[in-house]
Amino acid sequence: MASEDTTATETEPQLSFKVKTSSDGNHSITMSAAASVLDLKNKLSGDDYEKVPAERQRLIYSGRVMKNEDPLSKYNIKTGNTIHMVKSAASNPAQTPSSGAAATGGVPRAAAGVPTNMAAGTANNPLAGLTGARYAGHMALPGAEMFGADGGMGAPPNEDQMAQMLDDPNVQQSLNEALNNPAMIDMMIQSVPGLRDNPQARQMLESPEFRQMMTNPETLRQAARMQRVMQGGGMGGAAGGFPAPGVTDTTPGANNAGTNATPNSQPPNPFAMFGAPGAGAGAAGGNPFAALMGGGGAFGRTPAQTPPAPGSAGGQGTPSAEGGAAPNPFGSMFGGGGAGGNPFAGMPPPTPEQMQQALQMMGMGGAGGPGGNLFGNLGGAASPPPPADTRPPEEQYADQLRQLNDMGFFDFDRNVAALRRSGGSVQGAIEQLLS
Amino acid sequence: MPAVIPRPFKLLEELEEGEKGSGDTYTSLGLADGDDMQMVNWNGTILGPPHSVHENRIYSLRIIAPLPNPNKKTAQYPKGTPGYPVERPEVYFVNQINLPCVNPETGFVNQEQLAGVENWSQNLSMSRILIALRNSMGLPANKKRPQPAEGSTYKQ
Repeated sequence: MASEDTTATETEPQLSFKVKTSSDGNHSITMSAAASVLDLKNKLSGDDYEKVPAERQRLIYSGRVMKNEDPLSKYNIKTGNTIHMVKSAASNPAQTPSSGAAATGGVPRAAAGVPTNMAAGTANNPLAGLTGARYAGHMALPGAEMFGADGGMGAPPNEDQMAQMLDDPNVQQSLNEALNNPAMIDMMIQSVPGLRDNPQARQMLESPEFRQMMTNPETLRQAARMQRVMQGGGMGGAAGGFPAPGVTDTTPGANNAGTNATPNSQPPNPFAMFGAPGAGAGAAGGNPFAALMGGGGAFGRTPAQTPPAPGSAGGQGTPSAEGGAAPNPFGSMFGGGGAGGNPFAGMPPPTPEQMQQALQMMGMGGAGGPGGNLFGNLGGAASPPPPADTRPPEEQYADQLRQLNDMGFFDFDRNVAALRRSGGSVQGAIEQLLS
Repeated sequence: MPAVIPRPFKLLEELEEGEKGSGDTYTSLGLADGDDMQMVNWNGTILGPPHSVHENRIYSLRIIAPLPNPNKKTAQYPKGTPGYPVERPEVYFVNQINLPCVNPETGFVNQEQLAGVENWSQNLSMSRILIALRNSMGLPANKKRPQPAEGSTYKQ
């Protein structure tokens, strides 16, 4: 460039400034005022700085987008001032809104741009992948209508909703993919002693008939009907003998099996079919369907609150029977949540505390051991608990707090309290703050 | 009536915040012409919020911080307009955008329809308007609105 030739002979004025990136990076840079914006970008693309190719960088200073060909001097950058760097989307193609149109009505698909920390704490849990970007396109999370206004979970979906979900070919595909995944099968088998010792377990789980049962909405409806019939008897009896120590919570979500046996007092929870850790109360052990729909035994206590219920309701003291709070792969699927528009938006990785809530709400607490029952075993696919989220609230809710601040809610303590109650949902927190 | 913050003080404070980048990360503000001692014309940018149609877009705006004008008499100010910050700044989008509070012909921002700055006060600022606009882009009602092609601008 001609200008460079002329200025190079004189002492070039130097500019010292900072570059702040959207990912919290902060660099101090000194450059010749005659250098072009592109030179700065090339410098920033170096290994010492952001490692972002120049063509993906966009620089903003003082309300202006800086043009590549302009010299830095044009922008009147004063010593110590800050240039903002934004990475553009070259490697992150925008989601076309129409791609989600295939999802069946009423079931919003998982939000795009799923945060990467969502699978945190679910190491070696293949189901953690369900929350990942891999399934973002075709894994329809349950509809917003099943959750309360505050983003908390209300009544679990009834079997119709569940069946509807299963009717969705996308969901079918996801389930099949999960069941096709050897790691998933391994996890199910390993987590349940009854299966671990059974050489045929894998064959069983991989059989097409089994898969058919898992994914057929009709089977599900039948099972739900059967459960209603049987709830009064076997299930009720089983739970009746079960003291559920420390039950103080009388919210509907925390129903113990006794109240749950009242027909329709709470819709049977179809997710228990997959999720309930150690689903299947002892008395129901002989009955595959009761165990399949093990939602009756709502023993959703954290280990901290509850002695591990030795020998309770046919319990075998299996890892999966140790309290309903054993994190459930699907539980974490819901707890992890997608971002934006989704009721789970911004939920941090589930803490044991939240898990407990979620389990209570969804009636997933399983009382007793799996009893060697095939479906119980499937339900028993629990994984080791994810590490508790011990980050301070300002870190855990950093994004949400910033948003609340932007909207004019400045009371930190109230904001945190509201976010806690709404499980990290900004919208829920606002409703709370305004009420 | 509260004491009026002198216009230059207020604007220099806002200029410093914009240049040092000490304020909001997703919006930026600065003088259009660094030699403009009256500090009337400003530039702003808004980085579109994530998970919306505005993601990865950068919107440029121009902002006018009006000077006091004793000759411009209005119903509200019969003795002449008092200028910024008693009066609102005028905010225009340079890049075309589809938002309820933005005039589709001119890019003029109707701040009375913009949550957070509906009621102007001298305690608000130009950057607060930018932040309010960004929040508006990310609202569930607005984040999926079809948008004009990226880079298209309003006629000035």
